[in-house]
Amino acid sequence: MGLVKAKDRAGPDQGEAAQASDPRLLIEHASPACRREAAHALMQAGEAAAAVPALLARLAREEEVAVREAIFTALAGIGGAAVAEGMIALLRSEDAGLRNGAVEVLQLLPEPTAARIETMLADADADVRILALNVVGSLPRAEAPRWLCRVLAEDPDPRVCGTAVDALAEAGGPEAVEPLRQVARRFADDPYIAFAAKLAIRRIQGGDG
Amino acid sequence: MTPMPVLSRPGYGIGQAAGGLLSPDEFEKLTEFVYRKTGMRFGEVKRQYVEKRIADRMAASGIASFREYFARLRFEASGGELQALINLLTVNETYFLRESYQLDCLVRDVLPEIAARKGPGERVRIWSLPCATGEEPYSIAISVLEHWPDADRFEVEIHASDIDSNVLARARAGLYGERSLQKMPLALRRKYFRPADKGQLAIVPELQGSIEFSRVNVADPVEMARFRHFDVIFCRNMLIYFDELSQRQAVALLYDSLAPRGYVFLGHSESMNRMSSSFRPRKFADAIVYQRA
Repeated sequence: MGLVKAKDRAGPDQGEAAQASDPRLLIEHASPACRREAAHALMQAGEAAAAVPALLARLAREEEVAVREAIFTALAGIGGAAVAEGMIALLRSEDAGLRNGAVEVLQLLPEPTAARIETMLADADADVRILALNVVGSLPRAEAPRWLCRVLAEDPDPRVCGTAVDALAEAGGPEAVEPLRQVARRFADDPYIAFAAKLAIRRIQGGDG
Repeated sequence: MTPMPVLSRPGYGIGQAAGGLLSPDEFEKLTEFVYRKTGMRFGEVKRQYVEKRIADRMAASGIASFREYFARLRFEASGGELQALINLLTVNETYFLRESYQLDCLVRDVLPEIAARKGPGERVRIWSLPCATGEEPYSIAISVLEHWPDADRFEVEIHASDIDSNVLARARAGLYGERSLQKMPLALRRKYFRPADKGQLAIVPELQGSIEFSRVNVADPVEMARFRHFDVIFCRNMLIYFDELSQRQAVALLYDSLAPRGYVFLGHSESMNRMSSSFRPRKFADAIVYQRA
């Protein structure tokens, strides 16, 4: 035995979904492998945006991690406003896997996400605001420091402000220094914010401040 | 796979330090950002290496201050500058037995695990993707033949694919010069190569004929659906050149190409953790390998 040439096959080893005509039906198939292939196929479909409701509906009750991941990836590939809205809704999920997946997709969709960031940062739920800041922290948008500084000035929750301070350590410029000093004063009893703000200022000033 | 360009320009040649371009905080900020975006970790010992490449990119971009350069790196929507920097930070050339500790891991740890799950005579399927000019799949074949004692108990099938039909033609031809063979021991050269024209060496026909070469676009689900049930995929130094969405899409398709509990070898500077949670990192004595959950 040892090395052998690939066996002759009757044809390509096509997956079930690749051969099927309507992946929107296969996204509900009993086989996880089939659902993954359906997700890939829907992302590539001519009118991929039309598949978003079916993908979001399946995602909400999908329990297989690998299928969830394929659906998240397909949604990120399709993009657009409907996907961003679907992901923002998932930020309230009780399921950490769905929340984290939603954050990752939003990070990959700068345009539709940026259009919704200010609403997300004004959400009544502090946990949603923290997840929104996780998105802002990775978004390649010039407005990011401004969004973060506004959180420092206005948000009443120290956990939310702490997350914004962390993000500014990377994203902030000189304009963030004074807001960082102010938030440290506003939460003077919170040792983490004092520490994180000091670190962020040092990073922004390149160690000379 | 693109070789790293040789960097040299007047007054700033290879080997010259950038000379404290970045403060400790700036260096930390930069390296944490690069890690978050790419999975590549650069410690203080790599400062000179990193600073030189930052200096080159700043010069090429006409930017005088690191603060301004970092802002472009961080906020540019196209990600073009980040990609340019990644290209400089990664060294990518192909030769036989490259990163041989991964080949050691294959034969010492991964193949025995696979063998324990299979019966004698069953097929073990290995895929080299992208295979470029063939050094990797032939190295895998040689490692299996030389160092896996159970090779004769199984049928080992090695596939090799690339998107570039030109490099595939060169891989199939199996002709190599000294640069490709720099790490190949003399005894193995004698065993697996024959002299050819222009000072090159040719892979022996038995080995050449044992590899199944094919063209594939890793971003195309329909093309990738032809490739299934692999026990091991070598996918080294390709994903690092993809943007984040393309990485996720490619990894999703690699997952589908693997048999349950199949293994993926990535390049030394690549990490699956940023791209997918459907793989379990396995730390073996010689290397970290990612296993389909």
